Amino acid sequence: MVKPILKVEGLKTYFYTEDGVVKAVDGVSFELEKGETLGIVGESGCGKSVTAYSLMRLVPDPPGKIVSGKIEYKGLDLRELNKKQMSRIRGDGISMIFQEPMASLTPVYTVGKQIVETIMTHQDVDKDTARGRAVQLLKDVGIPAPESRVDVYPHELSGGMCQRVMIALALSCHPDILIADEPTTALDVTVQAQILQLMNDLKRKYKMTIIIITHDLGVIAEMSDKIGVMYAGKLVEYADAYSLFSEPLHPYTLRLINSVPRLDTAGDRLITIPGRVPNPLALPQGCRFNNRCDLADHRCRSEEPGFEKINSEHFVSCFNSKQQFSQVAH
Amino acid sequence: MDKNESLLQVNELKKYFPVYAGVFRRVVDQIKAVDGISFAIKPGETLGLVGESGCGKTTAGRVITRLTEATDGAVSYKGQNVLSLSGRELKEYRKKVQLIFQDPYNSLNPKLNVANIVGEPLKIHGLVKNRKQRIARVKELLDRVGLRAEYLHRYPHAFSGGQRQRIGVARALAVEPDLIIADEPVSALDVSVQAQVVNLMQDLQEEYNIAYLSIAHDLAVVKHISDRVAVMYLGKIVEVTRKEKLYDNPLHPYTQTLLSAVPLPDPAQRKEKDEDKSEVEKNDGNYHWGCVLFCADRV
Repeated sequence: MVKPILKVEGLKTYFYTEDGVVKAVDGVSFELEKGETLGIVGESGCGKSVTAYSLMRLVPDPPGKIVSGKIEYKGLDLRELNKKQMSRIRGDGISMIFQEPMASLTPVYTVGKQIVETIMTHQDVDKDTARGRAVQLLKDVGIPAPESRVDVYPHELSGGMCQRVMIALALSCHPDILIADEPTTALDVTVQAQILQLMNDLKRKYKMTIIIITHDLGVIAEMSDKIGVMYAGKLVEYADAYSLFSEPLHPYTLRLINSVPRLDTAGDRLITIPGRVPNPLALPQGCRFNNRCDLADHRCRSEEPGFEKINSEHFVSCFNSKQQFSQVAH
Repeated sequence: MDKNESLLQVNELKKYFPVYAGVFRRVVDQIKAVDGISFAIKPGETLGLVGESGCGKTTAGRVITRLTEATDGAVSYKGQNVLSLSGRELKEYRKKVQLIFQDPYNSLNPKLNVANIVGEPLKIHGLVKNRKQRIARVKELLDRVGLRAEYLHRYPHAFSGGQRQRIGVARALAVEPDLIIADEPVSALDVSVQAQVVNLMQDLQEEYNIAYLSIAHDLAVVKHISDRVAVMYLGKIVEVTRKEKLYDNPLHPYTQTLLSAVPLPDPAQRKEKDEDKSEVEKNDGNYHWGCVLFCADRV
């Protein structure tokens, strides 16, 4: 087996607030090989963004803290690194694009200056070379007339264009891993399609590993090789994209997939998940999904299910996953 | 009223916003937010109005409810000219045509409790005689939208997004409207909660024979709830037809582009769609002069 480029084991990130400890990420584990795309999907507050911030060690401390777990990037435990070593990894090894492209760029510098700054921080090049590279990057991400656009300010660009600049910025030092946190949520569908296409093209070109975080099952299905489903801070299911959608084993995954109105099927009534995501300060005992699950029994309410391996690529955290599967099959 | 007669008829509706410049704030240009749209809604029917941000769909809803005055065109409700209504007649119209807003966090007054939020339209329109009647009616409405009666004295901050949207629905429902204009009613909600609100809106439609003008950007949601769909682009309706026709056989290149841009929640269909997309791109050169799509900045 190829050695994974990123290995996350038992990651736990807690926030210590006045009201109590919020276990935003509570035991997330996965492995990624070079060139793979991992999609992390879940509803708001499930801890998917905090997972991404933890990988980049960008969780605000205080109140947040990575309390345990391992983040191994190329055999290096990122949790052991000091500030300076970590900033070398950010941008160079792992870089990130954020949800709101307009808000993630500095409004007071031109886009060119922002890219040049990143390149010069990480690489030993002079300003002219860096600027040349910035123009090339803008061209790579499909911005027309990059020679003149390099000198515009973010407010002169549309949302889609800003997101392209963010991607150019993230790619400026050829990172191994690109983390995209809801990269298209703020964009229109036609622009979204272009950005997703762009990410796939660049992935092929640079053999990049991508972690894409979104609540949109359509985006996940379109982009991912592997998918992790998160619920209330836990990874409840992890599988390759095809088996996750064709044979979801966790009741939450199945209901999530069924609750989305679809373009390609007629569909009468939407399947709903009763209730709502639990308050992170008052998580239910046992399985965290038990109060919304129709398969829940006594065991689910008292014991927390482990992360069980079904086959080499499919993991699920549910006592009743076999029953679930028979339901899907019939 | 005849069943085939339309409830709301919109004809060549226009809304231009002036652009001011200079010291004297002279009008130098106009933004054509809504540029001559026409459609009709029958009683009990759902018309979906879809388009991307900035296409004018929200402005259209606001003009129809007279929250913004129209520049030109006509809106008639049961044969009555809506744009010239005033005073008591306008109040009566607003009782029959209600709004549900996109953002459940900003569309409820944080200083009023649920009893007052849902009860206010009852009071304004004189639908109840006294407090006791009002509270009883509010309880009934809460029950209908799936909220517990104990929530009566709680304030909006104590509710989740989905629950707030239910309160918004209850408020719209209070005056027994014929038409509800729902402006992105579920786009701010999580998927699992979105399904709950969509189902609720459909149940209410069946029960009370309410017509919806459902304004949304999510094509899948619109497909799910609408009978007919109108696609808007840069202030104009480029295609309007029955939903089956629109989704199975979109005729306008913009509708085709829009539909092929939606990622399907099924990895098995990934490849198929890629081919579709290139198909649409080939059409790009065929847009006719004068069509808004031709000159649009295709960012």
